[in-house]
Amino acid sequence: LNSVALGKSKDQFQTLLDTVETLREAKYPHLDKTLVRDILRLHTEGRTSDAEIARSASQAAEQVLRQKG
Amino acid sequence: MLKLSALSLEDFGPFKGQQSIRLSPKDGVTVIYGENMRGKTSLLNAIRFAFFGKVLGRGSKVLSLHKIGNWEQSALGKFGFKVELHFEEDGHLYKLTRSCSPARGIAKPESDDDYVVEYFLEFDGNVLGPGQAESELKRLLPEQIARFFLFDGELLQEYEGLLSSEDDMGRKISEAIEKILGVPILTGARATMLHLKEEAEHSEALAAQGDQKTREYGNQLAALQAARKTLTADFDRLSGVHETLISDKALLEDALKKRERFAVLLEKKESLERAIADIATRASQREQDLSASMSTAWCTLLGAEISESLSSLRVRERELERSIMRGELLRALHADSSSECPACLQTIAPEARAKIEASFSAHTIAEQAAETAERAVLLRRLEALEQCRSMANPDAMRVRWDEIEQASIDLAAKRGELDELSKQLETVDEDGLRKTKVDHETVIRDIAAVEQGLVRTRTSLDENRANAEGLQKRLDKISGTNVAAARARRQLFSDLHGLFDEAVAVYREDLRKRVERDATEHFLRLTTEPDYASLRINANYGLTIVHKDGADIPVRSAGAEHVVALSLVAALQNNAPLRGPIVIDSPFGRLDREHTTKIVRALPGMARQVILLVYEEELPPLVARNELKSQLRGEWKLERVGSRHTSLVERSA
Repeated sequence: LNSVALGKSKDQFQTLLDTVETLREAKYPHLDKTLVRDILRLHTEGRTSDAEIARSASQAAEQVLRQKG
Repeated sequence: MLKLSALSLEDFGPFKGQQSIRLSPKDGVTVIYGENMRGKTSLLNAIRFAFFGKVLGRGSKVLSLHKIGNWEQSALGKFGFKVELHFEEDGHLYKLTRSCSPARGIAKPESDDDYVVEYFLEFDGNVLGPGQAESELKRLLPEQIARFFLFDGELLQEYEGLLSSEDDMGRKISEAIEKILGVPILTGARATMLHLKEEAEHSEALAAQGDQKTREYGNQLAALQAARKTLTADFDRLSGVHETLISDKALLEDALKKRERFAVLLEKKESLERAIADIATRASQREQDLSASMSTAWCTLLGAEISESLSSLRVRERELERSIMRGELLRALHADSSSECPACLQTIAPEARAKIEASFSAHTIAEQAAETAERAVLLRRLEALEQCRSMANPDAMRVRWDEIEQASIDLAAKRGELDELSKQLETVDEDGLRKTKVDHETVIRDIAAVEQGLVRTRTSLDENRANAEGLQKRLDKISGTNVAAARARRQLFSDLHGLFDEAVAVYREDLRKRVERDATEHFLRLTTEPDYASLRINANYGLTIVHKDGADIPVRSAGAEHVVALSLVAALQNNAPLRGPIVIDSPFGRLDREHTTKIVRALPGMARQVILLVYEEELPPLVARNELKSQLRGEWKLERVGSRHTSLVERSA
């Protein structure tokens, strides 16, 4: 039984990222993988306010858009 | 993984002075034995106080901090208490100190207002600033999910609410489950993307307004966005009101539940008062009827005389009737001089004619008139006497009398019951209880009204979004380069929003499957019933026991409820990104020895650190040692020093 509880070493972020990444690959392959990962990470840390998170996510998106031209 | 390493108490509840307990850094179970009233719940509350600054009593009611300090110390004039919790997480050492002391200038506190609660959080030896400490504590163990780490039998019982989608407690637990499993991270990302998508839509509308070709579409989009902003604000406001009302409803239901017995008595009392009023009205009506009947009651007393008079008067009336008829016939014969009888048409003999004439002359007109007048008087008297006889109805009077008597008996009985109920309700604030009931009915009506408003607003929002999407599609076809950048930005956030929205649904579904699978695995290890095959999860994370023949087990005992709840807690620990110690207060009270043994054996698999607060009869030390073996990391005992003084003592095996 111990293995059930202790064998699950994936952290919160990785578990969520796996779900999101699978979906991205299947249905939104044009979305930037790093951007999606960054947005998820911003929400996982939970140490900043909603406004700060939105600002950081927006900046990350702008960067991707600039790179794409 | 958060792991507790030591707990120090100062004047907390029965723990007088400074006392501490050390917890092994190794994975396993620590058992703390204490008989009733020695302070097991206080220990659980001390951990709760350290993390969240509050102490809970029965029904999860927040207790007054003024009553938490050690009573013996308070009697000596020393007020307040302190808890120090040492723990580690991911290799970092934390020391959390929370104290409750009398406010400056207060020598003898009398209520919570007279205290100041302060806390400090040390991280690897450095004291964190207030804001940093607060966010770190929220990250380490959010209060919303504390029930999965610090609980007792009462909290386990609440998990039954998950089986009903209507249950408020079930809704709260369901939210907490999603929180511990990380769903809010995805819903948070989805909300952020929606916000950025709406901002991008607004920018796109502005860009479109600046171009002659697209101005009209831009204007329409801007108008739709402005309307959406208002609708969203309305929706948020209504959601807030709805949440408050749901919370109010839960509080009112809790208050009614606690006073359920009195509420039933009060309802009975009100029903009795209504019944008494009805009986009194009916009795009054019958009394009026009886009073009316009594005005002719004398007729009853003269019943025999009336009957006698009626008989003699009827004889006389019949005599007069015959005499009057005879006189009229004679008069007719006298007036008709023909030789034939008008009745039988036979010839009247001369002797008979002579006899008729003699009789006619004997019965004078005056006599005839006197007889007619006498008969008329007699008929009136007969009619009056008949009326008197009909009014003299003793049976009807008896029925009314009986009804009045019955009403009087009923009234006395009901008033007796009412007095009894009033005595039982003497100490109850009846008006307050009535108000709670009325408030409860009102809040239910208000919730229904707000829910209707939410549905209407949601529909308007959906329509608004559909219209905006239509406009945007048309705009996409004609827009020039100045709108292209805004459109690309909007498209990006729209896709990101779509991605996280779908991810929420997929993650939830996946979680449910994993929780169901793991809870079943734990349950089959914990249950003693071989016919139970699995647990099935519902949308709220409620678990139903499934029999091996595939049928649901519809009703389960409190003991079975505990086993299912423990299986769920264990499954959540398996799947939650946030993991921590489990501290359980008296969990085996409703379980038989076989279940207890199985659960104790399974505890090390539920969490890496488990602290059990039990009394020895609930879990004999020998059973704990045999079942846990090397996983037993420590044994402590709450020893009585006095009725208000307990000592924490380490026990050796």
